Amino acid sequence: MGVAVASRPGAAVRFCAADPADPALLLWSATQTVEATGDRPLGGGAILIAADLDEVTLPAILLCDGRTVCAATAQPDRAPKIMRLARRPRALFSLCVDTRTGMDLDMGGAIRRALEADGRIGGEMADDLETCLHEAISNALVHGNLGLGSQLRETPEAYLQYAALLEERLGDPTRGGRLVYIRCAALRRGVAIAIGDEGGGIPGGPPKISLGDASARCSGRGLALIRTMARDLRHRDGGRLCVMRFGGDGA
Amino acid sequence: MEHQISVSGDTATVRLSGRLTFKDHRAYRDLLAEMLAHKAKVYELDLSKVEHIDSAGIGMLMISKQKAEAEQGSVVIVSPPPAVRRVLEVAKIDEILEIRG
Repeated sequence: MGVAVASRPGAAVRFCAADPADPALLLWSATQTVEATGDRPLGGGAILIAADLDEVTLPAILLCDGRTVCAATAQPDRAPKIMRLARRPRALFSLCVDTRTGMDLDMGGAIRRALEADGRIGGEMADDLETCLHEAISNALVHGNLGLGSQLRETPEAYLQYAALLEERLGDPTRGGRLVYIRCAALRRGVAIAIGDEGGGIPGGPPKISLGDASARCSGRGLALIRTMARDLRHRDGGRLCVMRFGGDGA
Repeated sequence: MEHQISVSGDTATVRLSGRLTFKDHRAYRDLLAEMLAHKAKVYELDLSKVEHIDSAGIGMLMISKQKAEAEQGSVVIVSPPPAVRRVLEVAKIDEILEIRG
């Protein structure tokens, strides 16, 4: 079994080939002991399936040479879909996790750090990108995959029930096992990030609330923040896919 | 997100640290109950150690304001770091909640 070790400093992550017939398909697991034979850096386009991701390993994996795709899911039946997403061309990296994992990981921070280390973003734009990522990822996880509307946070009374409902939905194998996928592509100037979920979409399209309209409310300002901070924002697939662009002529 | 509460006279100071995001609903719900139990007139939410806030975190600040005002109290935001302040200003929260420092 071939073994690859990330060569970039600070990315001490070890991989093994998941499929000997496909050396670009790599497996990483924090709980798996891998015998280091034939060490080599990750090649471009390598695909990584990772389990047991945590706050330390996720940024390291995103920073690996080869722009790996990684997925954290304990559901083998989802592998074909993850592979289809992973093999789409021209991604800097893709990340695909189930909802329970997504709620545990700081994916927005990890992606920000990876793009900063790569010299693609910096300064206030990096802050804005992280904020927008958090908003889009939380929309995908909470509103999309878990099916919880933001109106549930609108009053103090409803808010007090919200945390319990969130945990109940996370415990539902169907909802908690839905995937969220994030794909980051380089633009001539800046980056484009797409975030998709497996929820019910946004009936009637995304709300057009402005930050002025939302200022006194307790919820509903996430998309308005993205519209203000990103260069642009588009929705596709009935609202299940959100595409944001950063850098270039705008933000 | 973690917090510490200290009380001086009619003012309760809540020092928040870490990240204030959509993952902190349960922690914030507990914090809100603990904070309001002090029956203060002014609740200072010290954000100087908060690394990141998102729209759900802003919603938590707004819930705090509503709950405090329902009990004749008020909420003041204290010392947000630049990145947190920027999100609050972009969201126009500085027009609704007093921000000091």
